Amino acid sequence: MDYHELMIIGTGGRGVLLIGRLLLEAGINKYKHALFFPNYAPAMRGGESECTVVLSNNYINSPVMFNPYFALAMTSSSLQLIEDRIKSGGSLILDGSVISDEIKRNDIKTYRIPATEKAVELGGNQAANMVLLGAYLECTKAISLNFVEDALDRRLQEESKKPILTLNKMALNEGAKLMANYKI
Amino acid sequence: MENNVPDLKKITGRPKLRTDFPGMYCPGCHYGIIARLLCEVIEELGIEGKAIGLAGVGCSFGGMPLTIDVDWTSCPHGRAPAMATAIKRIHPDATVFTVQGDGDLGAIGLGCFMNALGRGENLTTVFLNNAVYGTTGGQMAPTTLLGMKTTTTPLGRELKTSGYPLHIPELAATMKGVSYSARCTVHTPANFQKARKALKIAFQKQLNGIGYSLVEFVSACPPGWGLNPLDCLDFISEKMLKEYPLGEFKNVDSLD
Amino acid sequence: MSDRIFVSGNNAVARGAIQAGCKYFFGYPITPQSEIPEYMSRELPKIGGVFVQSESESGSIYMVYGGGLAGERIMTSTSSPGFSLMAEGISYLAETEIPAVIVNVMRMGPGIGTGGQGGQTDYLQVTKGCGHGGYRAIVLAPASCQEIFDLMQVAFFLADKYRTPVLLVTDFILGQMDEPIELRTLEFEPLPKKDWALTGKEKRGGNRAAHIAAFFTYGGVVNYHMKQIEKYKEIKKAEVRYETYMAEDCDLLIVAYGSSARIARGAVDMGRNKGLKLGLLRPITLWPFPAEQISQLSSKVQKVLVVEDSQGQLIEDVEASIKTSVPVHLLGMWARHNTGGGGIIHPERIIEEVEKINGK
Repeated sequence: MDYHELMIIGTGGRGVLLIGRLLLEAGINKYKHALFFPNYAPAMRGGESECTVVLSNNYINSPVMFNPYFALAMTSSSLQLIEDRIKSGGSLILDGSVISDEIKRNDIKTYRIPATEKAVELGGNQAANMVLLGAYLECTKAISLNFVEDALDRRLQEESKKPILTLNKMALNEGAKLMANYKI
Repeated sequence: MENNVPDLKKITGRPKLRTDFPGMYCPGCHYGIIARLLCEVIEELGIEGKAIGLAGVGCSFGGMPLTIDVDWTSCPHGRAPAMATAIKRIHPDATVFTVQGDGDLGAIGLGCFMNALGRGENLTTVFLNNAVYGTTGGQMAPTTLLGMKTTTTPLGRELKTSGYPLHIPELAATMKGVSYSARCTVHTPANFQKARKALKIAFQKQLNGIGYSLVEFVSACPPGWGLNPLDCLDFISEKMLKEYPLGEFKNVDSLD
Repeated sequence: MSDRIFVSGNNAVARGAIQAGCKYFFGYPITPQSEIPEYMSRELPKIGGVFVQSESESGSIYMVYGGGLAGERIMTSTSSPGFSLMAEGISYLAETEIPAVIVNVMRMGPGIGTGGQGGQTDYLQVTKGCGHGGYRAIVLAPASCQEIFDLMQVAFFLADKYRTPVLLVTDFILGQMDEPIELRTLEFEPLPKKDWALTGKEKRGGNRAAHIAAFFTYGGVVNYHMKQIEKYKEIKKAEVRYETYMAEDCDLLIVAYGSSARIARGAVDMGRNKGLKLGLLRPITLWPFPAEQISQLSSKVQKVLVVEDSQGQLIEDVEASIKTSVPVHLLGMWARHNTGGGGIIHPERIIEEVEKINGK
């Protein structure tokens, strides 16, 4: 597929925008066009934070979308904002560790990935976003994990950032594994 | 006849930098004298080739640029220090100076001026204080004396409605970015000579690269004051200089 | 493809300026454009340039005025309330014909507006001569990060060519979104030397430059204005820029600029998939306005829809351009998905509106 659109939504400070940007940075290796739009207007720091990422080999028209094909929800309150908006036939990945809500839609595929639990197990709950990103990439094959790892290497070059880098890479790969073994 | 002519020695003349423009100032105004002084000091320092003047709104606006033969721009009300900031940053070798009146610098442009001092810009400002808005017809300026009649203080400036006269060089002297701050007049020959010295020091500070330098000229505005030119000189001695004492308020060779 | 870099729209403004040879930036912080002064404060000193944080937008614009007079490529950026403060200085730049580039990352609404969300509510202000005295400034309205980067170079060229302030407008969406851009240098025709610049007269062979009132330069007020009118005519003739998308055979023509045009382009594709024959005209220059092109296209369609994230401003120019009785509809800020904070007009909402119009 040469077109991917994704909306990531969660609580500010949990790395919603970060994984969006990483996806974009990595995506540039494979796609002719790419776009990232952070819409954190309603409430910065602690409020709902969302971003859209589009990867495409054709010119990307709208930088914003109301009905994404793919959504990634990190909290229960953000799930409520996005569930009804996902395109029919689309997919939803949610952090099953913190979201227990029942999904009312039966025309979309839902993947409950225990991202926070996995991240804690690996060494820090702040890596839950990476688990979800890994799961997304395994699900869509939008880009290879290597490109994301390269992007992480570029961002976390300093010696002091090494532990975080390692944690993030592990979380990314574990997320992909969770998705590969996922049974709906 | 020739034998009766005493041996004359030329001690002064028309400054080279004085353009052919006939002059536009009212009889008894001191701005023409200050313009001449500027010509002389710039010539003496040999900086006419790299001097860039910025004239504020008011009686400086056209008069100074038309009179003094260096690069000039006129400026919107009170904004000369901001414009001069950019010019000096772009051309650090130029000698950049502003000529601003009391309304221009002290009222509408005070924020702009104080921030330029705060940044310690390497500029020189010639501040012309005649205690009224001259060009617009003699309204109250921030430097109008208490009790002084203007067209917007018809009964005289009152403390409770219009506050206190503003002392710019004293204020500037409190700023760390300022290297030189002085007040002078040209209303007597002796003061003219002192003013020349002050102006020269001010420019020299800029040439030495030391912060902001400022010279205030307490000067006459016969139509604004409703006095004839000679009475204006007395008014300066008796009234203006009581409120605005002459002298140097700051003179340092390096900034803290 | 890795020779490209990812930048936000705000970052593209700063990089485009530097690419154009701008080494002097005078600015003041205001959301949502602060990334521009931040980038400049970091990068300009590295290339021998100067960044000054002014005391206000009024300070910024007069530093820009001074910098322009000094003969260098200079710029500032701000957002709506700050732009109002600059309007006075832009009038002086126009009067004295000093080239400068001013970027306005628009907010929503008058007064304090809303800094943390989109909006295109300065259209009338930027296109109708934002300060006093009746002047025109070229207004560029890019719609992608690459176009922002390219048009910044165009902006500096046009400013120097016509000796005029050039305004470039973006908004929250364009400023914050990231896209890959190619750091390319655009080629332009040679420009005349700035022999009017203030440098000190020794650099001009002893002939001084004096900028007093512009009226003096041209020998009187009428002469001065005739010269300006002539210049504006020349700009109108040569500098209209616009883009069309699927407009050749459309039944309904959408007119939109900036981020709204980008969103509308998405709607055109969505509509075409549904069998709706939509087309788009996107003005790239808001002044000079592509009035003739809109007039021509509108004569071939059944309906025109203006989409703008404002109360209805662009529509005034669209209506004035159209010579026929084709109905002109407006989809404005009330079409945002969230009527509280934030909120965006989505392409889906445009389709909804088209269907509503067609149902009428």
